[in-house]
Amino acid sequence: MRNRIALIALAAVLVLGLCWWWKAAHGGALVVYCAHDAIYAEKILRDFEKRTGTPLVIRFDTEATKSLGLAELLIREKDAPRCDVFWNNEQLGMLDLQERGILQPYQGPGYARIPAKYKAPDGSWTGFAARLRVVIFNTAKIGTTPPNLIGLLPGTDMSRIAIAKPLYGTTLTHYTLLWHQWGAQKLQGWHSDWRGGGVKELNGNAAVKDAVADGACFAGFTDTDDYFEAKDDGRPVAMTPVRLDDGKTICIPNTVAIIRGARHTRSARKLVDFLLSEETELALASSKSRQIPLGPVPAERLPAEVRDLAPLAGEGADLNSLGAARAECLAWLKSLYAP
Amino acid sequence: MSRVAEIALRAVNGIALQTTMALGRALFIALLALAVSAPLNHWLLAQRGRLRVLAWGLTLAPFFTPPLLVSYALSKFAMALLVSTWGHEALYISVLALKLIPVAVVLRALLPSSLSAEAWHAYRLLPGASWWRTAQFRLRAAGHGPWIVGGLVFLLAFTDFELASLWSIKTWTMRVFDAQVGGYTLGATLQLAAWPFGVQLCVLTAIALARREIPGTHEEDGPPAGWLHWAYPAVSATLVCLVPLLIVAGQALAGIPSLLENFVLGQELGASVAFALVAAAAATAIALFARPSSMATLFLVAPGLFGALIVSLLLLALFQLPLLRALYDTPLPLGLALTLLLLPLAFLLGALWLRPSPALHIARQVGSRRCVWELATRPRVIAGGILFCWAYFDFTASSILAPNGFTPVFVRLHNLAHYGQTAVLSAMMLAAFATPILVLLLTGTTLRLYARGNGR
Repeated sequence: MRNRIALIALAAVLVLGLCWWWKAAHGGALVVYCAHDAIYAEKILRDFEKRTGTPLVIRFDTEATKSLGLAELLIREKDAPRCDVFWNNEQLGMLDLQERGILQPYQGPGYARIPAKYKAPDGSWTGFAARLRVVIFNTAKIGTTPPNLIGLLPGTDMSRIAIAKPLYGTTLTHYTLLWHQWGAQKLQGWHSDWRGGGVKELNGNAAVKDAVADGACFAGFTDTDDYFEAKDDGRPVAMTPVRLDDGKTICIPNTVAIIRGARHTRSARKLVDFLLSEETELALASSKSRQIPLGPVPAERLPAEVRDLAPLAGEGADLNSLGAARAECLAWLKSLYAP
Repeated sequence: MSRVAEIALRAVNGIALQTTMALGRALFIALLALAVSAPLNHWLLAQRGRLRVLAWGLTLAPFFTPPLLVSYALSKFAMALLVSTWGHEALYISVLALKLIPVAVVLRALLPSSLSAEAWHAYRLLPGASWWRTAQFRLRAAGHGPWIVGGLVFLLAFTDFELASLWSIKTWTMRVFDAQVGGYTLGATLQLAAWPFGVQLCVLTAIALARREIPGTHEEDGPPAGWLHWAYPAVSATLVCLVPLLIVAGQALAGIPSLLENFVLGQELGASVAFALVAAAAATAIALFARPSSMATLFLVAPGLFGALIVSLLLLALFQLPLLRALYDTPLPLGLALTLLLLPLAFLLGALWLRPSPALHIARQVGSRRCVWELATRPRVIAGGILFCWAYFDFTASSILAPNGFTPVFVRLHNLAHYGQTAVLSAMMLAAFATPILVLLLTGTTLRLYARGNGR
């Protein structure tokens, strides 16, 4: 018995010692939470690391099986943050974090080059490199005429239409805008009709893209970066931007912010300025995801597809005033999906 | 009824409905596992020599194939079934059943029926026994074993999260996850999960009440080893393990040169191996030192049976408490979670292989190092290896609890998998799948050489 207790005590001391060593050894790196796709973001972040010599520790989110959402993790870690910089792939989540007092304002040279529409007035967060919400459709199944998904009548068979679960990501932004424009009752009725019609609710926009590209579904809502994935793979797909009732498009920027209580503020500011630079926006525009720059960039350095998308991004609805609509819409969605 | 009221009603019924669906699936899988495992277990125990190793290997292969590999390889097939609700559901139930039937087979080996061949023969000689009376007799004579086997398989099927989330299956674990992502507090989420918790607690209580002394490895003569008996293990291993592996390997051939040119997975593979080693060692040690058949064993095993999602969320909340916060961003929370998740399997393997036996006692008395190696050391190494693989393939706990900068490989692969199948990603999958096999082969070879060198 004594031997057993001694062994347990020894193991506990060893574990605690290892934890202490771990904390000490990893304390110097800048911690970045990144909700943008790893395949595009990592190259840019490693480039920053190489140039500045600032070691980065990156935590990515996952879309297909979704790890605990990074924004949710930041809320939980509010009292003892371990993240320095949050690179989010959408804007409304940042508004929520800003309201909760989790973000630390910073207005550097990067902030200055981004138009006011895409940033917080106090510098809590700044947007960059956007993508558009689009209807993706399979041209081999329904031809090249873009379908009008929003206008489908109740009772229509929707089993060949796909949408991501609207609880998170850019689908939540889409729903929030509809909530704001239509009001609660119309959106709830529309959503009910869709579910009643057998719409396929999938895990994320990439799954929607796959379903349409494979022909399992004929059309669906996704983002431009996912659409270009399918197009580059030579799949029979086309897209048309989603238009709201007032004719506006849905343009969703990446956003970046420093976390309040960050341990490496100087390095964090450097990274934020790097991400908001012309160079990073051009790199993201030239990547396979074809993100649309929000700050001024030389047009001749943009790929042709991004040049075509840029005017559509300019027609994007204003997302800055949607904090309350998001909260109400999310509360309703939670009552549906996680009552 | 107004449309809004309809939605509200559906919301209230949502978790109950999904719990009921999960319950139905788990019941079906448990019953199927009970039916299939009985003849399979007899046949497996009748095998000898290398055929026995092959038979067990084929039977257990589906259990150790990571869900990500299966879902990634079969993604196109699953996508084709998307439009048919039942087709998608059928695929999920089939794969989950094929993965869990091996658990029932192993449990059957531990909990043999108390009905001997002689007793069964004597019963059959009795005149006028109807099929109903025969079924009643068999059920009574079987004792608690089948209930325990069925109960444990039920719990594993009922708490599945990873495969369900990969194939967008509607189940209560997905609802709990959505609640967490949607910003529910842990308390509210646990309240949401009250129904499924209730179901799990009932089953766990039933298992605890049915618990009995485990009689040790049970060997009896089975049916003759005809080719037909090989059909089940061969088909299940082919469908769940071999086909996905061949699909991935075929695609990986083109991607291997690119991967070797820029090998980016080193750190993640290292993290996976390190966590798996520590958790396997800890779980093996606990299974060895804990007193068998005590209530303490049940308390050690119970958390793991609640599934990776619940265990991880609880530990996340625990390490956010002021007293433990200093240990939060360290490997401890994930190491602890993996150990807890491994304990049910560790105790199972412990009961199979790690208990002292009269033969081992005699071997120690006479100082036969070779016999001690065969009877004690070797089984422990094999048990440790199995636990290592199980921990290595974890995704759910790793994605929630991994410390910054030390993320296991399957979290990264999950992240990349949603871009669809590519040659480089398939090569990464293959590398992630091959690593534990390589580690085990190296360890096995080293130990064998060591044993030979010491004349064992």
